[in-house]
Amino acid sequence: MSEAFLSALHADPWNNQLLDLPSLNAQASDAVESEVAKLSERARRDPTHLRSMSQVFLGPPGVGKTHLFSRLRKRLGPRAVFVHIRPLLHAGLTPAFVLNEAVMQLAQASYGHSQADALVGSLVAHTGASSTSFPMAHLMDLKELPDDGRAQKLEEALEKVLDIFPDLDDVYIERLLKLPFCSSRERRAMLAWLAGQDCDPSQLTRIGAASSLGSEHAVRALRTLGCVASLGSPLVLVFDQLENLIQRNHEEERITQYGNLIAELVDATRGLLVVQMALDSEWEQGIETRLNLSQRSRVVMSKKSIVLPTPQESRQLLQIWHEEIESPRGPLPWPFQPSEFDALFTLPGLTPRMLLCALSEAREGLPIGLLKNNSDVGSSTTDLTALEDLDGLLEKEWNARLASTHASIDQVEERRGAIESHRLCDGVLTAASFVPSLFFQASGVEHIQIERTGESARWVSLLHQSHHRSINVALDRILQRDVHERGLVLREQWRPFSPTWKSSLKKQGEVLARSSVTWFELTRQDVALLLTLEDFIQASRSSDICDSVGRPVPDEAVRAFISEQIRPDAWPLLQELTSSDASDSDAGGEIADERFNVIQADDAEVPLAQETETTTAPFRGDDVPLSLVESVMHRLRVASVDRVIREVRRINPVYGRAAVIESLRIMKPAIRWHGRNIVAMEGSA
Amino acid sequence: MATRKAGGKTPDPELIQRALVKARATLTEKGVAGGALLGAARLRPSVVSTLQEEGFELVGNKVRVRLESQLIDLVSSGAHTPLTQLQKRLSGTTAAEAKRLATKLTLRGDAQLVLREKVLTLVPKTEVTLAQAELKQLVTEMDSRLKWLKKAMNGKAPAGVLKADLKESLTGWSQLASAERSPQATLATPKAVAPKTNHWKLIRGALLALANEDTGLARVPEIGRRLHVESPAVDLKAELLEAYQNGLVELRPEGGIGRLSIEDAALCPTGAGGIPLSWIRLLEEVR
Repeated sequence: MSEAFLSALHADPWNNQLLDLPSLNAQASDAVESEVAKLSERARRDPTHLRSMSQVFLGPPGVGKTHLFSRLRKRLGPRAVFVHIRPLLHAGLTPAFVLNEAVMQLAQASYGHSQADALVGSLVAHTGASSTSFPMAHLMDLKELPDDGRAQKLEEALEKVLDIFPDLDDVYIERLLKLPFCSSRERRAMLAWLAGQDCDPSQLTRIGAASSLGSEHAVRALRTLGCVASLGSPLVLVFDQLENLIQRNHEEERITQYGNLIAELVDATRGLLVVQMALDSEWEQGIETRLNLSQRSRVVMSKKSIVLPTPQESRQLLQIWHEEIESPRGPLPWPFQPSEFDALFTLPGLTPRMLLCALSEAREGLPIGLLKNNSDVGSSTTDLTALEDLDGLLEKEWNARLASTHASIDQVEERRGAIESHRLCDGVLTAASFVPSLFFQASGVEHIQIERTGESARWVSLLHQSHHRSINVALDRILQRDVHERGLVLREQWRPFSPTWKSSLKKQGEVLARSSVTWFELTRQDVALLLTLEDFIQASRSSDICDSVGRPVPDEAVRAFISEQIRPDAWPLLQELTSSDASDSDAGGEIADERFNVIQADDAEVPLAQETETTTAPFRGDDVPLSLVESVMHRLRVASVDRVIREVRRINPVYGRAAVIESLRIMKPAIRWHGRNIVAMEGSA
Repeated sequence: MATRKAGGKTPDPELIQRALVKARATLTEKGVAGGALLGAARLRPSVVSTLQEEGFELVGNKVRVRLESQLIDLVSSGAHTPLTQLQKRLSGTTAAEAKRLATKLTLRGDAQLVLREKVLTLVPKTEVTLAQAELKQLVTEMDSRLKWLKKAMNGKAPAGVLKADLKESLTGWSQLASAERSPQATLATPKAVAPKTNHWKLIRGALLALANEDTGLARVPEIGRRLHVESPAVDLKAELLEAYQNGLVELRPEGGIGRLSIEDAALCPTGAGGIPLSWIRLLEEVR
């Protein structure tokens, strides 16, 4: 292991290189382990009377709540399947969102094994009356069987599950059982279907399904998943950073919705363990008090706090980290000065995160900030004046998160997939919260209603679907709206409609013909900014944005930095939403010129270019040299825009999609555009 | 991809290789493999001898991961394992063999054997425990205190004891329990928490009254307000910091977002990084 752990101040729930002190908070991990053991035992003895359980773990920032998740995965996997869920900031926590997170995390590798494999392996072991302790060995036996033999075994397992739980969805179980034996493309399609995502036609063909699952079946699917898992490796749903449920003006509604969701999960699903983690003050004063008695009896079946390390445990932690330092110059107290080392353990309220920060400082030969700043502050939060170069600190954190979002978008774009619609919707709502004149209300994954001071209401529709039929339904819903109502349709730029989707293209034309509707193509950069903003604010709410000594940066300081430095109000999407009603004069459903309605990244230079230099410039990609695009075009002559982008990025991956498209636009008339997807060198087409 | 059974006879070396792959996978996952998992009977000697060369142990007709390695892995994971459960946690062993090995490891200093309630439990060597000599000293100390209490109870004239005296004795033991090293030193000279005044008793009472029954946590400002009414002279911040240094309480930093008012923050002691310590818990309740 490298020394990367020194800069990893926020635990990655899926990090498989755990540096752990097992005796620290052994009570908390034992409580989860014993609950899982009880559920497994009960599932074997009397599955029909199996109930779901819930636990709450509380602690201050940096105490190791998320670390606990990694530890539990290591200790209990593959005897249990773990799902880590962070609530959305603005959009509600729905069963569809939970199902999507649960299924997509089944594909996660946890300490060398896929969670889906563990789930299916242990289920087959259970139905075959074997021990469920070693699911991977059972799965290996199944994989060695010929296709017919395996299908028969899986069929038997399905029958036995349905004998125990007759009300479950048999098609869902059948597909779930096939998951470990699929090829990688089938597996991706199968996961999308099981997660309730909108599958495209090729995915449906690949798994032999007629249609996607649909969000209306999410509760039944979750119930099926939980019950099936309970027989082998129980499903542990870990809701982390629950303080994010608290939002000004909406907390009552969001907490009630959360309480109802957990109550429904606990009541409807058998053998599920719901683990909830939050900041202690936020939970005690902001969340639990808002749950009614009925919800509380299901949400808070047991409550424990995560303890801070004792001085002895702090020493042991430092010893573990010290062993990971490459070529240390001596045993502990190195890299600390002996006096610093002893003084550190006398500090009350020392969290593991602060300790790691202190080690990092000592490693770099810097004085220990915690000892320097340990004066009596006496305010409720960290003293802002004590934070040197706050903007620099936040900008560094923002850039790191933006780079990480870009990396995940790269993966999505590579497989031409869709961005997770719930997170994207939440990103739009979060960005809008920085525009004082806008009041946004999400009423679903794809629909956002906007109230604007002094103006008529607007709507935003997120066209996230992959299948042309689902797109048609969404477009029909848009067309059914009042022609006078102003609205915005959002779609990722890299997911254009296929030329064979004639009905969708026709409906798109009808939507575009409405002067009151604007079609906004989200560029890669737009999406990256929205998702990073959502992630950044979420981390801030959970006090996970911290200074060099591990003290949380106050939420108001983070929001001020976003407002002043990142300027979401200057982003093209927000500018479009806040722009005055220019088309009111010709409103009334008259056919408008399509060119004025479609806002593409490459057409959005007016608002963006003005702000780029002053605000978002550090965070956007560089321009692509025209010679590079030209050389690619000379070679290809005629190509899709996607192909050109791929070729340019193969030569130099730093260039983004928007930058390549911008270059292609600039190269007119040497480059000729055929529609929105094909480009050709003049004289080639 | 499915495999089809070959029409002809598969040569022995290939069958041995297949059996080895399967046996290694089983050993990695279960820790023990026996019977059919070691291949057909005629191939088994070759399979077993290869596995033995690779460091696995042959016990009866089964092959297992070396028992000592299994136990060392178990202990180094931080597990506290009752001796009665040891056989279940290890693969391919008997209860007697597991206990013998646990004793061997304890004598060698690679693990420790402690008595928890009525059960002998194997714990990692890193756990802080009282060794035999320290236990003897503690028992002597407790015996003398017990005699003192009995004398008060059974004397000719019925007598009580001063709570302050009792607390002093208990504090010595409590400190011994939370001491990191050199327990004899603390045992010999038990340090009183609040020799000047009897404030700790008041604070402890308020803490117990206000603590959440599930988590044992109480809000420091609430304790401050309660004490302000009952006993205004108490310097709560100093008392709490002293109690923390004596290992009696856990003081936790405020984690809420704008939930601690300036007035309430003023009632809290300040911790690492200047963060108000707004939550408290008696350590005797947790650890």
